[in-house]
Amino acid sequence: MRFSDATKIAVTLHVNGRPVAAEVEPRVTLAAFLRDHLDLTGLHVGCGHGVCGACAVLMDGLTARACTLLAVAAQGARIETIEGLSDRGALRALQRTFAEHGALQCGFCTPGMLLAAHELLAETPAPSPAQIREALSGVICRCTGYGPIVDAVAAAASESPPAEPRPDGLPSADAPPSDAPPSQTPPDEGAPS
Amino acid sequence: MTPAAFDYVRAETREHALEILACHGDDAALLAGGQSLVPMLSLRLARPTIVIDIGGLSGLSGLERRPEGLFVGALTRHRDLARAEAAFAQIEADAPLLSEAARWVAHPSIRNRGTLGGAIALGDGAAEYPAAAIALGARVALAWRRGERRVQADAFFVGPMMTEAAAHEMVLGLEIPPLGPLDAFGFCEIAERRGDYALAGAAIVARRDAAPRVALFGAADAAKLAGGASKALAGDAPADWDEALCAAAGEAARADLGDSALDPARRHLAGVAVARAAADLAKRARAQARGTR
Amino acid sequence: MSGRAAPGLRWPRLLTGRGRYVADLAVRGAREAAFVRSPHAHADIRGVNVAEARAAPGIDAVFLHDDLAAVLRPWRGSHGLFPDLAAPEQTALARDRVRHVGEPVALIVGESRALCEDAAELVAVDYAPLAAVTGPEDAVAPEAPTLHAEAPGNVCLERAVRSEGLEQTFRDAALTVEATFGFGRHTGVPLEPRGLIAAYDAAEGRLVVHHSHQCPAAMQDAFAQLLGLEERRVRVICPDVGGAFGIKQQVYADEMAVVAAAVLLRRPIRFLADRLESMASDIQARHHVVRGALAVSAEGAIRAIDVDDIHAIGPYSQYPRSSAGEGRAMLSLSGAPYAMAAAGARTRAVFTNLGMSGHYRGVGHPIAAAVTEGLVDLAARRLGEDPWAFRRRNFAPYDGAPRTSALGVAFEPLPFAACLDALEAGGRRARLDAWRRDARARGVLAGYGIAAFVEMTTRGPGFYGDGGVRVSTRDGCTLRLEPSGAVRGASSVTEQGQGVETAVAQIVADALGAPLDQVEILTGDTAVAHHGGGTWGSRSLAVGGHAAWTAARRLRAEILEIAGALLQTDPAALDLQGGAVRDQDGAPRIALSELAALCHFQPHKIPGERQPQLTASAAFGPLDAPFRAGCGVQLSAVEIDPETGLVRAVDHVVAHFCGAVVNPLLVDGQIKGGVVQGLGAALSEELAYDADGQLLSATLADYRVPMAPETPDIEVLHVERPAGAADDNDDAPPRFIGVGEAGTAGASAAALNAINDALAPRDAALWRIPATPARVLAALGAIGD
Repeated sequence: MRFSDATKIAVTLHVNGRPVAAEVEPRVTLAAFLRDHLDLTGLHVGCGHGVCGACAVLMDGLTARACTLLAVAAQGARIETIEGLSDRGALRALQRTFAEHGALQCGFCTPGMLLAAHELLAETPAPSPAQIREALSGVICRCTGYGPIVDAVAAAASESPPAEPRPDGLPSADAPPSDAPPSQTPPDEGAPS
Repeated sequence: MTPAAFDYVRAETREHALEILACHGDDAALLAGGQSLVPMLSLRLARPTIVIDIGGLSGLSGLERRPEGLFVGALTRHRDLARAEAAFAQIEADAPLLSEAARWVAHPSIRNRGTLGGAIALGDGAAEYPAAAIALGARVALAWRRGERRVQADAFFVGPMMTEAAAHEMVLGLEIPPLGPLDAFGFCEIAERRGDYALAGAAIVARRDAAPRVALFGAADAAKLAGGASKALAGDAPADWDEALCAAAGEAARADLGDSALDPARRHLAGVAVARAAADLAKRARAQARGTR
Repeated sequence: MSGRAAPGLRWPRLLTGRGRYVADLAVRGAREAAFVRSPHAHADIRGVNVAEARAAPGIDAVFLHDDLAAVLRPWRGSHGLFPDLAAPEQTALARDRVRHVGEPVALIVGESRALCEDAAELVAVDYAPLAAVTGPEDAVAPEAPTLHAEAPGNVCLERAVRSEGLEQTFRDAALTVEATFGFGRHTGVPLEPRGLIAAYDAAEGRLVVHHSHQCPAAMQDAFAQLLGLEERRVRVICPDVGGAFGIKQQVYADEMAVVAAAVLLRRPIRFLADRLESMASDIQARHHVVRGALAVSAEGAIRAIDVDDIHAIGPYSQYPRSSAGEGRAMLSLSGAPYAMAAAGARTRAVFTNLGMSGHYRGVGHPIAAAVTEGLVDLAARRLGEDPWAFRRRNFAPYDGAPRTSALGVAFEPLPFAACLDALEAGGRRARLDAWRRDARARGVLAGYGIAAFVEMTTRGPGFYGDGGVRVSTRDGCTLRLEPSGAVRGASSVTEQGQGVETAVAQIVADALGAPLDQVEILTGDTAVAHHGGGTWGSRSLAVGGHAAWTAARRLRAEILEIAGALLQTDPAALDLQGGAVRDQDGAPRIALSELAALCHFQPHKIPGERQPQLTASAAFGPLDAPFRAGCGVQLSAVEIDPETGLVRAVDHVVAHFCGAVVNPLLVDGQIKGGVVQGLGAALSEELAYDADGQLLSATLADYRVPMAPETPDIEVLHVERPAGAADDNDDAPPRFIGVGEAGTAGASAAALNAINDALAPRDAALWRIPATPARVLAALGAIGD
């Protein structure tokens, strides 16, 4: 795809470990840049307005929604996509347990789910089901009903060695809100049957 | 759903950003984390001719203890406030309400990128920080080409996505009078789904030496101080607030909303949120009294 | 059948970011497309000025209705079985009037989507707004504006069924319960929005469309028919499809416009609907108001049901299937799980200035189930009887004999009571009762409810075929043995994530005797597979699996014959298992790979101068019954915060009967995913329109699909065919029953009953979904209506 001739801006960044230098129109989102410019189509644009979570990438080690970022604003960033993470084996345990548990159907949300789960496990090696659901709360899956994904993440957690350390060296979880009102507490072991 | 064309400048310094902002005013948009601006660009709801990227500016992120209070930089990310670890541990001591509010912002990947200043500058009536800032008695620090000013948070959020900041002004951060050891806060957000904008919410701060401040969000088009509810809670020590008092504060909050409530359900829920935030505060106050904060 | 939980064959690719959805395909020279869509729900178009847009940078062309008319004819969503169904003409681009927000008015084709959107802003349309019709009951109000002169009163279709003596049965009843139910407007939200790439080769008159769709063969037919092309020169390919749920089953106006433009421009054009376009223009569904009544005898026997349904379709009858589906389900399924003497149902589909409406997962099933089961609970409550016991006594008996329901629909025997038993097993009710008691003691309104449902699957040709609707109810499969011993197949089923491709491969592997990893199945390409129905109405595995099984058995027979000749053994004494020809005792005689290589490269070594075909093909479509039914009972448990009105689903169990299970991982996936769509409908999802027909839930932030924290764990219990029933035998084609609608069919009903169980201690009731906080608070009297 060719971008229009409006004033382009130089941007340099690292994508999947490789330096990328490009000139892009300011209005191009990082999602469009990665997909159309670098042919990294593993991330998907399910909504384009920052809700569905299918366009997840790792930006400087943390998940980000590529549709809510401008490519030009990713100057100097280290971006990893589902392709790069897969190729270097970072998602192996999750990919296996996702398949075993039927944690995907159409596959469109899968990059978002895998990256969200990956981020969770890097910080919280043994998450509770409620923590898993909280960590996945920003990714829409319309096929599975989420349960199989939660099971797959729990299974990956229970069998994997501690994940790679976080880039900023911070060890622990992004906890769900404390003292949430009852109606807002994620479901836990209180299920009746 | 692609943005309309705009020019883009990566600001080198704060002064650089403010210079460009002064030139373009209403036609410019400041880009920090981008979590609200970029979707609005994509939806073509925001139509700036120029986007000034301040995301790389130094000195606008993190915490600083100043004589006027705790200064939280505009580029501080939700994630860091929510986690309150390492460099951000002070937030838990001085303004734990801000930390609590951050945990309720959207979803993990948005908290990773989104910034406090972005949320303050946007002034969404259903967002958490504006109410937290009002309850804390915080001041919004603004800069323009020729200087800086401070605006009390309760006067800053004036309407739907409307703030006191002029087109040529940039949010530098929040200046928060720190909570003392005997001060307490309460927070409650009611939303249909985790991470949704609030249907209604309340943030309350009770300081030992001042009247409680109850702030509402979600129920009206801008966050606001609930004077009646604040008054209802004044007088009794927070540790003594009982269910009836909390409920009375909730009822007062509904009256405070007046015609500004977006619908009857939100008016009702605002009362619930205030009652629950007050109960939350009372619980924390009792815990503090027992020394188990 | 195999019953193995094999992972989906595409999953390794999809798990590593190597999916190939339409948006991922590279087509050299492809142009992009964007639309000017109506901002008005109802308006006359007085003029359109496209001069500035045509001159905009990067723009190849701007099309209006008349520009396309040369190559594209309009269509009507009519149905021959309903000659009185009003099916006004629909065009790809609006001609002189728009009838819903989002209706395409102009098509821009250019270098990039961004430039197309820029140019779209330069198109000036002079609209004269008209009053809009925005609800089912508004449409038939005396003063309602008329959408189409040919449908005065805005009724698209009205149908009624009444068994004899209905009134008398109600008069004789000891108890009659009544309620009026309201159902929000929903849509499927496949996470991959609609999209296609159309490429036309004028020299050969050849059209190739890569399409995110469920029914490539139907689209091949539609493109040929509507564009006047030779059917054989139209090829439709469905690559990876990111969910569909019925939403990618229709002919869409915008998509037809893009294909017509590709024919006119002679350049490939790619159109990817964005989410705003999807919310406004994807097929929508539900939006019913139903008045229902149930008559019960003094002995507590259900005697009759009577429902009066009105539902708001959009401004046109959907093409090619028509918009008769939701109403048909009401006429077929109201009261279906129960034995009763009499029944009546009336349904009206009415035109409104809302988005196009038609088939979304479950098509009417969730409405019929919610109304029936809501009335059943109401009756049990009124009688002071346990709702489980009340149902058990009133379920249609399972005695191995088919039965005809009070509405006159013939059903095969369905084991409702066995499903209820499965739910009740293991002390579940005691646990539920204890949980409910504890929760209520905490001040939470807790409740649980159940709902029986019937799922109509695997339709025969009677409905569409006899209606003159060109929708195939058949599917086919062609298999060939390759030199490596692997089997390559082409099937006309289509894959959108439900896993049918994997299940077909499993069936082939089992029926043939080859390892699953030696079977490759290609789907979704009209150039290589039979003309077939694709995916809709929970049919693809039942039909396509049958065809695949038959083809595999045929191929197996030839392989055994060749092996017999080679091994000088009676083929009947040989077996094919695990990729080897074996003696009856299992001892391997020759590997399939060895035999295949011999056939391909040294056929002269096979005695008898044979010409190995190594290819087998079969097609199948059900002829014995109008449909196959599955059934089940769903259980939902909810907690309602009485102060906030927030409803949280805390538990959900489905006891389900669907005959043989080919792959439990996939079947459970279908049911669980379907349940969550039903829970979304019950609790949070709603396409809200204001009184002017403006779409208020235009983004995914406003149309609230369930997310992980709001979704309970879902348990699926498979109920076997009760003893005494005929089992599939190895040499007869397996009789599969579809499972795609099951979860959605009963989930909303169970959740609504759970909500009312929770509200009962407050003497409150709610009959309208989604049960938003505002509606729950109103039901509780905390706020006004």
